[in-house]
Amino acid sequence: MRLLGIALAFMLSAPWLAACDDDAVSQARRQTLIIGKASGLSTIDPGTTVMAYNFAPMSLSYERLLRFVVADGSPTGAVEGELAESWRLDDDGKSWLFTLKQNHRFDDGSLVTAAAVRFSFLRTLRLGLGPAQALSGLEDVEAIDARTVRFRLAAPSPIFPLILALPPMVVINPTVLAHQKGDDLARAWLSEHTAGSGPYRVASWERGQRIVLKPNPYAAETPRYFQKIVLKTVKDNASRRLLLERGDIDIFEGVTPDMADKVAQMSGVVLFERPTPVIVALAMNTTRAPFTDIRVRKAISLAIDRRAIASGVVHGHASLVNGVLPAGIPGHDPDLPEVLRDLSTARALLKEAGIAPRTAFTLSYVPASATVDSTALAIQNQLADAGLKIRLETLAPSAFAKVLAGDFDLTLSNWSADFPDPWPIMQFAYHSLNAGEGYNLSRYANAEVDGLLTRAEHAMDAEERTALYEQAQRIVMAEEPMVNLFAVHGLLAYRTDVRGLRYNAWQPGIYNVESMYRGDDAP
Amino acid sequence: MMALNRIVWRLLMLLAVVLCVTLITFVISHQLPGDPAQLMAGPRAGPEAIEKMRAALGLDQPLHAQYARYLHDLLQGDFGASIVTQRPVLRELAAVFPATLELMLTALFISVTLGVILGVAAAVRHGSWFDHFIRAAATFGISVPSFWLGLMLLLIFYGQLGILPGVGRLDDALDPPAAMTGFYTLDAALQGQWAVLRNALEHLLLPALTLALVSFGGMLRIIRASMIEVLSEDYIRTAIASGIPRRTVIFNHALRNALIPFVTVLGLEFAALLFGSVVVETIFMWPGAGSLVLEAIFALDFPMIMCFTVIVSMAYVIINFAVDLLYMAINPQIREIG
Amino acid sequence: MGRSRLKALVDLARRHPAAAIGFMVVMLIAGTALLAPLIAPYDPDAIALDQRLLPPGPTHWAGTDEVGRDLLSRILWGARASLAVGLGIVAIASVLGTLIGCFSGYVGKTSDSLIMRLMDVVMALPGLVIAMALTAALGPSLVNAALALGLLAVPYYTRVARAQTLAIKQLNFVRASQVMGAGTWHQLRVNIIPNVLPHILVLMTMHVGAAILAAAALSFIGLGAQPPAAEWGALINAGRHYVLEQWWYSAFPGLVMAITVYGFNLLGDGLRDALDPKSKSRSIG
Repeated sequence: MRLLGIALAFMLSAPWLAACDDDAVSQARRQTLIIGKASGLSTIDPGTTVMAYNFAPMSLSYERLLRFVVADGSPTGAVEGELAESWRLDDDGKSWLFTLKQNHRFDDGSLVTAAAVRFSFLRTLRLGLGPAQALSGLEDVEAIDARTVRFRLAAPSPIFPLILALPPMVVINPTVLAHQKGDDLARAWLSEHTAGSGPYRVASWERGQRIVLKPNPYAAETPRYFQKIVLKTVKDNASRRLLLERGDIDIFEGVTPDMADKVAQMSGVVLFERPTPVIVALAMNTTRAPFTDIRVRKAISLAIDRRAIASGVVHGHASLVNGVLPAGIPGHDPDLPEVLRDLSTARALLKEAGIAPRTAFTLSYVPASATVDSTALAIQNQLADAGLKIRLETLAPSAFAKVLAGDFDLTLSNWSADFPDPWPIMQFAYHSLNAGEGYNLSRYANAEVDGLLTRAEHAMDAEERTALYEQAQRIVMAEEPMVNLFAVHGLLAYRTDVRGLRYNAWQPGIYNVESMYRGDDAP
Repeated sequence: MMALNRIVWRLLMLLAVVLCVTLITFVISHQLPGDPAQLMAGPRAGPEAIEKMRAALGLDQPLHAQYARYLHDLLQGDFGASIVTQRPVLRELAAVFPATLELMLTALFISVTLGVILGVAAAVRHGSWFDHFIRAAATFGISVPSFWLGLMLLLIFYGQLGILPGVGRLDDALDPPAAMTGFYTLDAALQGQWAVLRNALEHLLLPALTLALVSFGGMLRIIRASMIEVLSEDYIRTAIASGIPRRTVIFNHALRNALIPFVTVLGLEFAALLFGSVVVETIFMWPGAGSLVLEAIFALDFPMIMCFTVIVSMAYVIINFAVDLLYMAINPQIREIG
Repeated sequence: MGRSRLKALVDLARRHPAAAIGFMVVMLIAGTALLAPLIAPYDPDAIALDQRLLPPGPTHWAGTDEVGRDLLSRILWGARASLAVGLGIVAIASVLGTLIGCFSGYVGKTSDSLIMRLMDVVMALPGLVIAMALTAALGPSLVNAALALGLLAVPYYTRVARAQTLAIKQLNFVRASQVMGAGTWHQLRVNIIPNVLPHILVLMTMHVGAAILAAAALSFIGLGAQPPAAEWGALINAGRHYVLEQWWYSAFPGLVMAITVYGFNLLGDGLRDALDPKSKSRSIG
């Protein structure tokens, strides 16, 4: 009993003697940037993932040849060199030549060379996963000399420089092959370590909890202020908000529309909001009756009250999409009229198509967030007004394969463009080549649209491309395989003392920490 | 002889538990709707690659052969690799286990302290209002859902009052002490990092308190009941009558005897704490085995789930065995097979 | 009910006030669950997007949720789901456990020790984790959760049933009918099980609370009840996202659940004290 008392007294008193260390602790805190993430990371190997939630450590630890120019929170459509000093289209009209900057070094001190560029891209192609799909026209990468590299393409591709600016298109130190297991191209090792030339490097990773990054001593752009970055996974929205409110995280990812207004009112917190091209849509299975019938698709489209969803479910933190291409993308037509709800026309069209009242359909979706759930419930409610009975089927992420395989009536689609170009949206959501797995969820197939999209993909003339995409957009709008519900706004909250943040709402989760600082500590 | 018999029984029991746990989890993992080979080969793998993966995993063998292979590997200490991270699951689990153990031991400490002190106090004032109140509180303690209590404590002490840290084992700005025992508090104390020690203790308090509040009730009830019984024994009455101070009698004589039945439930209590920690860890984002296994459950990472269940079940049997030995040591009369 | 019986009841309540309170709470909750369709002020699944997350007030006593459903109605209907799953778990465990325990105790010998060792093994299993794994694998649902939790609680009943059977077996009337040549099943049905039942009933009462908590824990994690079902654990989980402003969303269902479990535990304690004042056995963890 006495021993217990002593132990208790020790536990309660000893630590408080340490108050003198508080200054050191608070200084360490000032120079630590803590980013609260809404989901855990699965891998940080650039060759294997295209998931945005995996990008942060990648973009801080590696460098790409090119990066997007960002102005006022959105990409301008232009790119600038990160590792590349200059680049140009080769004389064959389809290959690209890059000259590397001097003196960019990996975190072991070795130089970034053309050979490393070649190694990285061939590795990605050989792994054949998500990032390789984005490089599908790439035939070979040649290191012409130490600083010159040529990307040989099968066909002209006007968007190739934009693709090279995507986060997974980084240059990896070829010495990682020392960690190769079997013939995995060091995949196991790179899934949780980094070997790049970026300003930071991954120092430790507690899976599902946090990733800690520390400066890369050899980086060309060494961090100006923050000596430690913590990417902290806090899945629970309320806990994450609590941490932001108390200043235990500096940057808050995953602001949901229903909390945005409250976050904006928090003292000491800034809410950043910009439109993005992330479109949430109701996709109809155009290969399954009765959705093969354009009248049925039109009826469903007219029965949906987009404005009510945008205000009731997304609380105004979304923009209506009147066409196919959202604002900010060439080919977007700001003069298109808003699609207004018209229940009587919807009912008439359904009757014309021979759909009896109270016919039941199933809406299959992955309940990824409260917003998705509420959207599904709202659709169910609104379609009931048109006499349709919608059964909601929630799917586990792995069970979404069923939708990709075409076994569904209605589903919710969530698709985006990473850069201001019609290609990512038109090519994937509407080209019949990409039906299902490629994310043309409604399995829309129209030979004329296919032809226009294929021509646009290789047209090097910007005006010609835009015209082709505009033409395709008009056909798609007339046939309406998907009901574009809204384009979400990019939302990010951060403490007011975090300065110098240059954020790109189109590419969430990527930060310029190396040039950021805290409060008045401007370096 | 009897003791030896008991040890043999326990070892057999251990074996049976391992067999049973592995069999159950093995059967569950083979009822999955998804195909593990597909899962490991990646979503875009062709049928050839999947077939290759299937062969590599031994999934093309009949079920009993697969089970035999699993047991065979298990005997060599090989629990397999995680489907998610491809790393040995035993190593992943070992890396986070100190965090869970630190939390559980702290909770156990709080809960035993509360249980013993309040239990004795209630027993001494048997039948009084204080006694009734303590009993009611103890019963309420075991009636409150731990996940709810944790949420509310977090909201009050961190969110509203701001006097305790929120989640995790340590402030993010601090670097954990160099690993010696794996317990942040102990490591920090051994290395003289007082700021870290203080911070780690503050982080421990809320999750440990949550676990303790829902488990001290059970301990309190047992202590109280056996204290009442012991206090009514003749030798205690005689001792008090013979002028030995009441305090001394209660703590030195009575409590010692009342603790005997209490020791027997410690094993059970430890198990309850471990399962409680799965939920509590997720609320306080405690980077321990509970959080790990929950992630594994959602990812259907069965090698990890199986490793966790086997280790925990074995630990349960071993702890109960240790408690038995302890019990025999305290109370030499009991030497029969239970 | 006659006057004298009422008086006896009042006496009983006076002697065991805690059990009486527990009994009243349990009756209240059971009544609520049964009458939910009648007393719930709103349809628990009716959505009203313009009435989201309203605070408690005269129209919605417990406020509304993120799509405008009335929370009081959902909590009331949730009593059905939570009680049903709690009772389901207890039913599975008690029926199987009693049968196995009585059989094991009565027959004795090798089969007895085999059965009891098997029960020891099942008791050593990390129940909640296996239940989680099972529900994750079979697909999250309350039925799967109840099945898993029920099966894993069987040994607690087996132990009690067996211990009581061993005691009853020694009684004269049982021995007598054994001598008269009564078969095993007849003995179990007529003499053993009816005499074991009171003890099982106590255990059941004490188990309901723990079962409700365990099922709610699964729902809270997302492995039990699925939206839009109104179940207490699922409600607490849903409310977690809004806990900073709409604290009542999580707090009310949690409080109701705590009170319910408290009621069952008080009643169980009281019944046990009445049946066996010296018993020190614990509720199922």
